[in-house]
Amino acid sequence: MDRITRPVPASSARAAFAFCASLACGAASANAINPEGVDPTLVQDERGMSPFSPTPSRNPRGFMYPSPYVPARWSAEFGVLGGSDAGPRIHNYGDYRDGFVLSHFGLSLQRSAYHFDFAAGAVGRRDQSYRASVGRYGVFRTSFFLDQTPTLFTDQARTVFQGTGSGNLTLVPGLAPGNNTPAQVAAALQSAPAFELGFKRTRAGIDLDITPRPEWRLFTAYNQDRKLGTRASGGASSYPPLPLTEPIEPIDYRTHNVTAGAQWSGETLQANLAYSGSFFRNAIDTLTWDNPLLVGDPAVTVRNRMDLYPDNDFHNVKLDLSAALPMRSRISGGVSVGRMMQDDKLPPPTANSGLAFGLYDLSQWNVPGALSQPTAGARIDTLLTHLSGGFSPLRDLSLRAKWRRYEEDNKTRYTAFNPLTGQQGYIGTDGGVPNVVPDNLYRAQIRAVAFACDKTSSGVEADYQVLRRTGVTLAYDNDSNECRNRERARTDEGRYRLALSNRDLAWATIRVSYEYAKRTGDEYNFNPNAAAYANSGFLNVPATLAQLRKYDLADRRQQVANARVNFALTADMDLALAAKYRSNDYGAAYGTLEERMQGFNVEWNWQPRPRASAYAYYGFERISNAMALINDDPAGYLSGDANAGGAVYPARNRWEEQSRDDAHLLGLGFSYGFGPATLDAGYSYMYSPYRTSYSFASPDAIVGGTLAAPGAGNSMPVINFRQQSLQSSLRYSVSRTVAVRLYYRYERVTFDDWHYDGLTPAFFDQAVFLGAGPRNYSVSLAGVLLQVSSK
Amino acid sequence: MFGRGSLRLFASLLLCGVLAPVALAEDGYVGEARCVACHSLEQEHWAHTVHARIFRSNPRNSLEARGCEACHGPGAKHLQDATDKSAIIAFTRRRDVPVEVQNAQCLQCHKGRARIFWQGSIHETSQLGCADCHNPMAKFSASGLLARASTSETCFTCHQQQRTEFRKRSHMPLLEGRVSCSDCHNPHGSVTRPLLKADSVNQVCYACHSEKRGPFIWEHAPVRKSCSECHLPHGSSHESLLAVARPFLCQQCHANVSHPAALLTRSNLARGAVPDERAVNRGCSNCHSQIHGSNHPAGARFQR
Repeated sequence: MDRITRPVPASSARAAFAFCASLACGAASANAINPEGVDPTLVQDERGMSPFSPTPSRNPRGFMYPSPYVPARWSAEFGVLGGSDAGPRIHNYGDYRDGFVLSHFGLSLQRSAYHFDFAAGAVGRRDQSYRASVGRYGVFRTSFFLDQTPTLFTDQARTVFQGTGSGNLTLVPGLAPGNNTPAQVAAALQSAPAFELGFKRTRAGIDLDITPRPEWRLFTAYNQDRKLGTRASGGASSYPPLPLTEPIEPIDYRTHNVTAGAQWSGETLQANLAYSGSFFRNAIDTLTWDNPLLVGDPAVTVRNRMDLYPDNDFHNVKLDLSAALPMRSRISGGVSVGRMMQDDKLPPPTANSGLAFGLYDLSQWNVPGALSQPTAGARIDTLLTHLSGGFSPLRDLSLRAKWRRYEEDNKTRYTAFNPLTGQQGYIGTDGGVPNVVPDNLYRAQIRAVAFACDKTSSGVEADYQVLRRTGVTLAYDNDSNECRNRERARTDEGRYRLALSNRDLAWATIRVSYEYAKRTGDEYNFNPNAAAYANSGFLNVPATLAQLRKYDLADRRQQVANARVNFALTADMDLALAAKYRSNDYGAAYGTLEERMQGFNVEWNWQPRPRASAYAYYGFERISNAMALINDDPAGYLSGDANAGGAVYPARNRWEEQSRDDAHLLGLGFSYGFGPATLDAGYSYMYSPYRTSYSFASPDAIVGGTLAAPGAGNSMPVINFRQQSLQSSLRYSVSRTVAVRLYYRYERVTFDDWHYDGLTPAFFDQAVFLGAGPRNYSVSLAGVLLQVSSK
Repeated sequence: MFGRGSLRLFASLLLCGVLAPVALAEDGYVGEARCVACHSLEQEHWAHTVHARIFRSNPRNSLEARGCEACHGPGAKHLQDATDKSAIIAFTRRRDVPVEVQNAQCLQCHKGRARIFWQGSIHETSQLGCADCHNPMAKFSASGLLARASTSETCFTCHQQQRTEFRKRSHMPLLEGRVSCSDCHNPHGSVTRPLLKADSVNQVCYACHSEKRGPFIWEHAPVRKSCSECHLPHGSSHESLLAVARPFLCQQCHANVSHPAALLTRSNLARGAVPDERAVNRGCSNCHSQIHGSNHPAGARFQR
């Protein structure tokens, strides 16, 4: 059978060819036309798994196992792809371009206990991958891998800049930095060529895994993660509505990851010791761009400079232990010590010169001497300690307890101070905003705030077997968060969980659970970092709305219910149902008020023969959210009153918003083998409408006030996403070793998104965008592929 | 198919009947050759697996050298009465061997290492068997001896809702085969509730998004606390896996004076009466683009 058992099948597992000791280094070696990453030349054995089991055998939960494959020592698939004009998104994460494709090559050799395995996919394409592994079973193995993944945001971006991909964007000839009219910019964009925004990710690594004794394992690995390309960024020039620009951010990243460790798995004691390090390097430090539109003084606010992601280092050493004790008991614990740090050179506060606002000589702010410190000196240390244990005092009763504490120590310190002028603060947006004490109109942040949280979790749990195959679990957990420099110094969340697992029924497996959690905390301080700000020179403007509660710290009552039931309808047929409900009620008058999630899924599978199967599934998810806020009234600023209903946040400025995020997913497919031929087809349809509705007490609550109110309505247009795809394959075995595969894929994607609807790169006199929004597309792709193997 | 299968079944049973009376070892182990006499097709499939390659070419101990019986236990009783479900350790629903007994067989060799926290994990306490996700009897997946073709297909048998989420407008490239569930989660147990492979949510995300690790001189509180404060990990109806449409996502926390607290309506869209840059394109991120943290001395508001 061809490997198209799902229309867009799931990820590869071939990653394990290469040992993956660190996170995400293994991923997949799949590609666009072989998304499962399994050898596409494999066919399922028409004899099934066993002569003693003419119908599919089932796993302990009751799901059918598929029919096994008949592997080959070596295999390859290659051919030609051709199709209609593909839209840009079809290339996201994959490469469907027309032309020759070597979609798969695999080789597996063994002599005695020595083995060599090699696999390659989409050779020469943007989503190509390679895996090689050599070793002696039970003794050592060394592996190599290389993966590429393309990410394409759009191929229809337009810009007035030249120098895309570099750290220096200058306006095209004919435009003057910081001194053009919207019409001039619009004209330049009209004649600008479309270009791609996106990046390619390449990962390559090598590792060594040694097992000197069955209990011992020693390992080391290195991989490099490379990202190269561009994406849209954002650049304010001042407060709205002064114009902003969407510059093109260059991506030229390289991350080196290393890991090494030793593991012991004895009869009684098991231990894991590992070091991992990650070193991120950005080849481009800053991004500088000209102002396309007029911003203030054209002689001063000409250029902008952004500091791109700084180089950073990460180290972690981890030791985990687990020991078996008498009475079926076990104790586990561990410690993990980490450090994140970066010490990049800081750029001067502004890229411009001249006299800003007639007050500030930018030549005193555009040099390194204007900095309070030359480099960032940022560092966070982390410490994780944990201990857990369990024992069984009775045959049917198990008890467990656990404790875990994760600590962060943010040692980053920075004060915005200019030694040349003796002033605190900074020149914001390259001369567009003066956040300089004591001249600033609004509150100016002059000191960095080192956020960090310590999280302590503890819990007890009891399992009781009420029947032979039916267990009940009762658990209580408490999570406490102690966050520095946040609105609440501490929150505590107690969580009760009741779960039932039933496998006593021959024809079904039932799993249900219910959780109730309540989060409370100490006093909420809506302005916790006042000391990091300098008071306004003119006004006593409040920091924010006093009654707003940030949802990560607000009181919360949470309920979660889960149910999973799977039925063996007949000897060769399964039905699985899953449902989930979650509610979050926040103790807040403003901010996020509540959130709900409902999910329902059903899947049907039928395997009447080893080479015949069919499936259907439907998934539904709804996430709803409600919030409330009060718009501020500048006329009330003098009062300094931060309370709802006061002069700054009057009741007439109150507004509410609700969102409803639905998703419907339908999937249908089959595989049917007849004689030397196998036909596979899979279809999926995704529809996700996102609805936003709102209400407001008066026009003063909304942007545009009375001018905007008549057309404001009570909702945003619906954000729609529709995707349907059909993928099919007809494989015909010409001989035992040669087969031909005819491949066809159709995909159609449509978007409706009010963020981009009617949006042009020249956005009135307010902004110059790139036009990087989503685009509809449809594509038909067909291919003829030849398969050869050693079978 | 069923007809041919029945013939094979008959022939196999006949062969078994001939071989069964052979004398048995005292410890109950009968050796792989005896198993293969009846289970030749199973053996043919199993021969392609990494277990078979190791057990046959370089067994590390006497247990591995036992071949089939390393996992299924001594075969003597089974040989005497193949219909006795308790005579051998089997891993299918039909044979009804307790999951704890099944798992103990696997843990003979697979204890510790990535499974050091298996005991007490949510999958263990939910009575999952190793054989729920793995099938070492044949090659069903490219690696890992999974029960389905890939890691994610295996996970989706129970976690169906994640399949829906991975199909949303923005999503991790899981269905495209570029990442796998096990890149972020350790299904065999971890010290975090969602079975993460690292100490925290952020450490998991930094594995691919290392540029966002910082630390930065100007930090955004929820970013440092957890990426999941603003992003959905599997898929979202918005760009960049965001949980809620911008600007409302930001306004859930920001009512600061000067402009963040105002409601943007359809009048502020590109075709509205009062178009506003905050309602279109990437919303608040049009200006506050360095929202994950800034290293610029003038970046306190994440604009540089």
